Amino acid sequence: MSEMNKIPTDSICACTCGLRVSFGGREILHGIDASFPANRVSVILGRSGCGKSTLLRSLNRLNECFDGCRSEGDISVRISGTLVPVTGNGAPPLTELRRRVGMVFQSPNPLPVSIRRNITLPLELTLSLRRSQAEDLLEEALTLTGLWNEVKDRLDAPAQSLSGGQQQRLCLARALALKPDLLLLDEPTASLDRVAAQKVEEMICSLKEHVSIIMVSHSLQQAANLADYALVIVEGRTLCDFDRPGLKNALDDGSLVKIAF
Amino acid sequence: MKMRDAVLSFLGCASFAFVVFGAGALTVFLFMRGLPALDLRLFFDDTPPLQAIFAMRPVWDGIWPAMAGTLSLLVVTMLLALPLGVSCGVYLACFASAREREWIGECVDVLAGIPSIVMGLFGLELIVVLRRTVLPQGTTCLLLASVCLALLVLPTLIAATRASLEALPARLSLTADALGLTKVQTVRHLLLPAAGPGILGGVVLAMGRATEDTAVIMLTGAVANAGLPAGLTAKFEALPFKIFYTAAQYTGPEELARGFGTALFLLLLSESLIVCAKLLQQRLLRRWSRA
Repeated sequence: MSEMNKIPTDSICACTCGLRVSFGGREILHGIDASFPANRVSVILGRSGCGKSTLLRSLNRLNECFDGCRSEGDISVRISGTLVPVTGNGAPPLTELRRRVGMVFQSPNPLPVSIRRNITLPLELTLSLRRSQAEDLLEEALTLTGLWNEVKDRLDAPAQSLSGGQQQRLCLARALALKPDLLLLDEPTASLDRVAAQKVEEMICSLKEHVSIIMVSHSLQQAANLADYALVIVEGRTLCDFDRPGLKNALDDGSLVKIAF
Repeated sequence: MKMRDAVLSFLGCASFAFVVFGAGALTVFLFMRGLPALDLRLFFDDTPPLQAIFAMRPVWDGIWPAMAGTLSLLVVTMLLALPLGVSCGVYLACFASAREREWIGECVDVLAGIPSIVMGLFGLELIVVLRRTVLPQGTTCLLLASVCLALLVLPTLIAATRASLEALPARLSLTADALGLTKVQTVRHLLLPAAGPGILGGVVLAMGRATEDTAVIMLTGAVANAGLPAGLTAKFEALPFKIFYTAAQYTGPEELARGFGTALFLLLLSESLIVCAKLLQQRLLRRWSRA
């Protein structure tokens, strides 16, 4: 087991300290100390049910949308260049936080409206843009996720008419259009076939210059492909973390599989 | 097990046949008795139709005033009930705490259980109390009848709104939360449109109920001869009351036939309201998903 790497404070995009989260009295996270590097892809690894998604959701306070959630400890995220707490003094308003810390879920969740409105509706509502201003950002967002050429002729078709992989890229585009500082991806390729998953993975790689990314993944292969930094969680506790070469070694000699899975 | 399946499927078919037979028999009967009477004379008697429609000459024996009365009653009732019912349903489904949901829901259930004749009596008592206190010249009228009808159909609207909002997948609101939308924005732009068809279904039910209810209006302002509705504070005629009155007081076969004609027309009117609502529902659905 390696010591936790120390990331210099000014290149952290998010960190937690003593984070404990419980649902209905059952504690899922037992005091997580973690920090994630900015403008990198960080991958949270662990068995299912170990609290990966809960950790991810605590960064945009989405756990609070579930019944019986209690949370303690400190969480900070970098918004517009400054590390701010997500609750209490100095915290941004909840809706602002969730816009700046975008999220993409495990299975694609397009809004039940057209492809166009999936992007423009959140823009209009959260940034108080006029419809024409939102339309201007549409092409950029869809191009960024490689979707523009595939859908530009049917922007007014229902988003549900897209394939699963396209829907997931639409959700990514929707999150990116809001210009987040940090992007949370909760097993974004889990419900996709291999080809669609590969497309999404390529996109994630290309996105990290624009935005810091923290993702949850089941797949060690995916982590090896994408991760600049990896955090391993076992039963609600951080076990160890790796930089890119470290992760590759631990995968090659099988030690990661032995300790974490 | 096989036996049970057979019995169940037989019961299913039987109830289906019963419904079809019942509705069919009723319709055929109404058409047979009512169709011969369904002509311009039934609506306008001897008054020229255009002059009757623009209220230039009164209609004495036709059902045109009752039809106009029923339509105005429906409009006022829905104007009162719709905003209240939908907002209450939205509050219950999206904003209320568990305790509020329980006791407000209880109140709505009680309201839903009130027979319409009791609601009529309530309206009558209300106007009596008002006359004795702040409104000495008050009397039963279109507005009073609409208020009582609105109370009568309110639970239907609340329940339909609440049920269709609660039936939406939880991930829809979670998605909206994750995008940084406020609760009000989520309800206004995502949940209400998605629940629209269900809510409209409730509106159709409520409109049907308000069109056909006789007991409430009988006690709160409907009369046999009032002419066209003259305002919110005037007495009015209404189709269901006309039918009830004819059935109780008819003097000869011709008048009875006109009664059947009126009944058939009321059936057609409420059916066409339902069809209109369905069309509107489809159009809304299309427009919203594209807009």
